[in-house]
Amino acid sequence: MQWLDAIIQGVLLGGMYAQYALGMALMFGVMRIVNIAHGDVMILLSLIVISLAGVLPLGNIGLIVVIVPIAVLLGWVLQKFILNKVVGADPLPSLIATFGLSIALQNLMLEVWSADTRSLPNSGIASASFEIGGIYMGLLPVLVLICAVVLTGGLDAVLRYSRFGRGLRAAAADTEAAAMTGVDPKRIYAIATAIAVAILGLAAVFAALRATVSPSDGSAQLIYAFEAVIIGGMGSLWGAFLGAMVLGVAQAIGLRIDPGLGILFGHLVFLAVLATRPEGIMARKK
Amino acid sequence: MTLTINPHTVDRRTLLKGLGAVTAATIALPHGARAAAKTIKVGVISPMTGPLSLFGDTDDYTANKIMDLVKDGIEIGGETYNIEILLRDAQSNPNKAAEIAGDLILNDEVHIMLPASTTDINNPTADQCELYGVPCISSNSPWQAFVMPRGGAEQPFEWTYHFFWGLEDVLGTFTGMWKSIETNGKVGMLFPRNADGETWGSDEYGLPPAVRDAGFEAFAPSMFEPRTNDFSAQIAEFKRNECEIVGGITYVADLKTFITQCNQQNYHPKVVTVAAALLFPSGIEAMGELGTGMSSEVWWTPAFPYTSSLTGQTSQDLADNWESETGKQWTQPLGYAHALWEVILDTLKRSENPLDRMANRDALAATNLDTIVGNIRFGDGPHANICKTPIFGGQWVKGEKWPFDLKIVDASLNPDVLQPEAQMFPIAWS
Repeated sequence: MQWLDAIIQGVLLGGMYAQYALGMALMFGVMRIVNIAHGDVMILLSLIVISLAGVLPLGNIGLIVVIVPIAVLLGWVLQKFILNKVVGADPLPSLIATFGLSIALQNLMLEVWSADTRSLPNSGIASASFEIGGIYMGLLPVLVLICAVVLTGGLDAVLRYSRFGRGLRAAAADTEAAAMTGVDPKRIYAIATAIAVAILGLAAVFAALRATVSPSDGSAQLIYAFEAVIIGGMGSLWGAFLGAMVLGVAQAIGLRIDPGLGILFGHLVFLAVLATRPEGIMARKK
Repeated sequence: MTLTINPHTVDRRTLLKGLGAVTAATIALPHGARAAAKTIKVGVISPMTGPLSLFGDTDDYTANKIMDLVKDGIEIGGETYNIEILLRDAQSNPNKAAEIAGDLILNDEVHIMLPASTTDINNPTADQCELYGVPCISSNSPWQAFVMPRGGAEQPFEWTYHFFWGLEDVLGTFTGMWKSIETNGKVGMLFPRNADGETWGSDEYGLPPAVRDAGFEAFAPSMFEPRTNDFSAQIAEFKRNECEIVGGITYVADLKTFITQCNQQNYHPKVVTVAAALLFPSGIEAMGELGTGMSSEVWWTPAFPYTSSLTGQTSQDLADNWESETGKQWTQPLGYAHALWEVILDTLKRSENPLDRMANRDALAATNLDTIVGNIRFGDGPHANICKTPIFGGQWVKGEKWPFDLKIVDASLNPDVLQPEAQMFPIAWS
């Protein structure tokens, strides 16, 4: 019973990691852009949401409706004016550019919002839960998990079947060959980053509801997104989802063994996957 | 007098004020007078940016107030001295604090040092002062954290002095609060795996043995990694043991995650008393509605019955000025930031030669001053370099002017200073 509870709480935790990992899977897994500022962009969106909630009488749904377009715009601008300048076969320039962006964003946020910890006012949804057979499940984590499943499925279908998805996969595989066949890689990349950051906008609202955010928090969650993508396998969206689940369950089980061990357990599983199956559990055969 | 600031770290407001002060001083003084006046240099190191910046806010504000106060210099033994305040930002980083302290001592040749707050800033600065022989006065960290890690248990320090309460006091305050409310006496504990958590959670001198001695039953799962995303293991253990009280030390981010999950897991303790996270209004506001009824330690409030030896202001005046000038609610370090300057200026006035570090040290050691946080006198405390100040238990309630107000609910350790303002009540979970 205790272990079943641990696994369920772990899956719910994995749902949150999956939301962080999905945008990362698209950018890092498919486009091979290492975005060090991933976590900071989410914190920025969270802080914007919290400030908006202070001035606009919107519900949580309303906040999502407002923040997602802002996130789309932010992602598009990010790719158009920064990442497209450095994207290429060599992953190093994008890594360095986003590393600088991360530091700049953190200090910008510190200047605007100060070091205070903030969160969205508790609106009941964060504290609501239901009970099945003696195990309590929070409504918010369940919603987060459902969102993660829907987003992963939807994005996977877009990548597989749409014209945009084919273009993105082609551009990622061979930019020049794709350009010759009429795909505009820079435009495709700008749209993909806009989608990745839009997902972060959604994650940002959930993060601000469930915990607190302050300008220096970004990097703490970034590591889980990276780990989930690598455990799952580069290039696979469902892989990233599965990787997030593995990470969440490993942490939850570790926490039950000893409350100090949870995060370590997650990292150990990550290392074990790297050692035994470095291409990730759902990587496509090459 | 001048305000010297580190151009890399200062914000615009301070910079403008500082520039204004410099210009004013330069214009006001005739050439000869300026050359003749002797200048006492005071080094101030504060965490003005970074995670500890909530402490630094009041340091910055208070230093600017003192600036105005002493802009015409102070008179010591019939002679007028200028006061130069060298305010530096340690960026919440202990290594940076040590580096700045060395620079202030060796290059700027300060006559007295003021590391304003927190263990991370106080200890490295005090170590440098001890090394180079500079008098140093600090506060805002439990005295054990100032004495023990620096090897003060074996022998007293020569140059560095500190006033604040100790762990034994805060533990007494916690159990005092818990006794005032009807519970089953079972306490679930939360300690992070960092310097604070190790000290508070210690099985020898920390919270668990103190709580057991006071007649409670203590359940302490092993320490959690700060910024854990999942507390369901701790909550399961507290539920199993039917803990009606949750106590310990956490930071705001962890406490919010914990409280959200408590709600989701249908665990509703009657009392939540944690140190650190609930110190500042912004921390309690992050808890939302659930913040009502949570409790914490209180070491200064506008209700303190003391007045400033510098300005004659009451604690209430000090808080009112802060609120009207910054537009923010008062915070506890405000009183201590002021009291530190009371001690500094009093020391300099009593010093036989304020330009001599040794004389300043002797004057500092002989301090006997009624400040806005109480009487400061060294020698009677638990350690030669320590003076203990009062501490109370406080509970956050719905506020009138601000979202939450802090009310004193336990004064068992210092009943002669303050009476409880209200009776403690259990948290109403909804």
